[in-house]
Amino acid sequence: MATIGQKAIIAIGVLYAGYSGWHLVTFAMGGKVTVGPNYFWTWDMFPGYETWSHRTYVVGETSSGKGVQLYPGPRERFSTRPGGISRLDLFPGYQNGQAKLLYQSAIQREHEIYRRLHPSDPLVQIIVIEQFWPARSNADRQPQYLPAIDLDARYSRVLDTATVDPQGAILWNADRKGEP
Amino acid sequence: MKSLLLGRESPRPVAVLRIVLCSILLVDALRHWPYCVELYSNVGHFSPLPEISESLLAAFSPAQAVIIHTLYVFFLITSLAGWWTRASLAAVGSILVVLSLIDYPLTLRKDTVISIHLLLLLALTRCDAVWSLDRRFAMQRCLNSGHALSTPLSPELSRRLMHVLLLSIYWGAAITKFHMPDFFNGELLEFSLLDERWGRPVIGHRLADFPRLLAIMGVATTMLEVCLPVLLFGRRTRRIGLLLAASFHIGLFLTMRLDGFSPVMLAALVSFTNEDDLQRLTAMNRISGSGEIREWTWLRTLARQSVNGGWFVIVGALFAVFGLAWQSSTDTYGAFGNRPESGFERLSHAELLSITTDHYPPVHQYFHAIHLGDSTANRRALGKTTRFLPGETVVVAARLMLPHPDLQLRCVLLTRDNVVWSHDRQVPATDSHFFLGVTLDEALPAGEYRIQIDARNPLSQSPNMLETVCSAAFVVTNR
Repeated sequence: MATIGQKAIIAIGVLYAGYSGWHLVTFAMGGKVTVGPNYFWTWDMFPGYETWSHRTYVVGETSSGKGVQLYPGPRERFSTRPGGISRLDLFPGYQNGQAKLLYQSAIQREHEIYRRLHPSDPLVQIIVIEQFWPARSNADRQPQYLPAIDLDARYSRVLDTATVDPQGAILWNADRKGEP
Repeated sequence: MKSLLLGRESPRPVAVLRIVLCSILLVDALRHWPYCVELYSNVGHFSPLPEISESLLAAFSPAQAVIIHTLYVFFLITSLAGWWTRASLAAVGSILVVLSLIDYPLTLRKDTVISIHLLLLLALTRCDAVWSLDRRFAMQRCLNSGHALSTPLSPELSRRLMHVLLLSIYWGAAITKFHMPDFFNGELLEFSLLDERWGRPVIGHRLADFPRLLAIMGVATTMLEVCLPVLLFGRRTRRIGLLLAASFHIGLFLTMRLDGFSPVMLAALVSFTNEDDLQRLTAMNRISGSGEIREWTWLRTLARQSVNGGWFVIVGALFAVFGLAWQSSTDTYGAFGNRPESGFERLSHAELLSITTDHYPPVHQYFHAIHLGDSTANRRALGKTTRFLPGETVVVAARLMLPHPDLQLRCVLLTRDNVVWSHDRQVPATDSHFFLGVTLDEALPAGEYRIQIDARNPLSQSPNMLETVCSAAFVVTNR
């Protein structure tokens, strides 16, 4: 005869195994299960890859014409990767829907701090810049049949801009889509 | 079925899992602890899991973040040492869920999710029954009272659920790969190894130089992920499965930066060991107890547990206060008012202008690799690369970087002096590959030839200029 504790463990076990099985079958059938709490049951290791390496920087232009680096800023010190990769750089780029929201939230936060620290020289414009280079350059790799490549070359493009109104509200312009 | 649901077994394998997993998580937690204010409080950038977190959770204040993260470290230590073990494991799992939801980009990783599953399932076992302070305290009480104490057995079902977890991880990973053909031609692996975020320098980067080996590894990895659960569940094949799985995860660790994934998976594999394996590895006595002998009345047990629990709460509170005092005194971010708030890096007007001007790469940078061959398979050129016969087709296969602009190509076959053949081609921005087949005329004289591809980049500063992106030499021989 099972005790109450044993019955509880059996109930948890049946629920756990059933939910895991249902998830696996849904995933195998091509169902989208990667959103919200389902992430805790999604085992989509290697869901994609990128051919370019990138870093995203956000700078602000002040009313006196000077520049300020807003992101990565002084509140972004922890990194699990070498070479100044910020935690938002772990996403596949600023254009990724989720990343963009998080970047803009981080920019909003840094802008608030900037306004508090420098009330006399407010920001008038915010610019999101992506620095990028071919992933193969990370490994000093010269591909066959191609011209010699400059392994240290870094390219950049402006991804998004915003104007800051006198009240401090950030007004985002439409982001520029397209190729690097 | 009855034995599966109600069966009990030696608690040693789950105790080993508890110790290994908590050690891995403790190292990770201690790396995060100095930065918990930036990661989990409203001083840093609140980056919650979209869709659920923002409506349910808010970022902590700096003091709350430090206290919660310090308690997380405390519960990990107590889980490791085995003091209020199962409660500590449940607390660690619960705190990790909250921290993951608050910090989606960095904390909510696959290894964190797997750890949460394992911690909560471990809390259902008797992993505290051996190698724990709880056990020591119980033995001490028995010695003092002159009673005998047998080792309580652990429910088998909890460990079986860990097996279900591993099965779904391996098969889920294999299903993902079946949905992605690029995994089987090695390209996904190649770019992942070259990516500075995921590929490990030296071994990982060098491995990316062997595309054919990577294609084989892609197929082998998927086969392994399909077969591992079958091997691990089979009574006779379990040890082979364990060996293969451990080698696979060690290989992953050496070639890729996947944070705690490999160590956590190696820890999870411990759930497939049993008492016999531990007996073989060490000279331990077999545990054959059938349950805990209750030597005391419930009132005395309650009294003892209350005193022990009281000490646990006091030590935990002191630990949290000490952590908060430490972070408050260092105050790296100026969040506690003991130091000024960190300022911003300033740029001159010239620097600002320079970094906000677009700099696009030359057109050859949009070509990742070019291969020559006489046939294609799996989006690669295969076969001959240097010597061809008249009548044969020389295949050029190019892997392009995505995204890239629309490219205009001019492909020519050249002798030393003359253009033998030429062809203009458009490559749309969505294409990741292009193939060119040049059939060598039967009347073509033997000698040295070259296929040259020139490309035009409409995004460059001189969009009409053709740049040579490929120059592949080969020899045409007589039959």
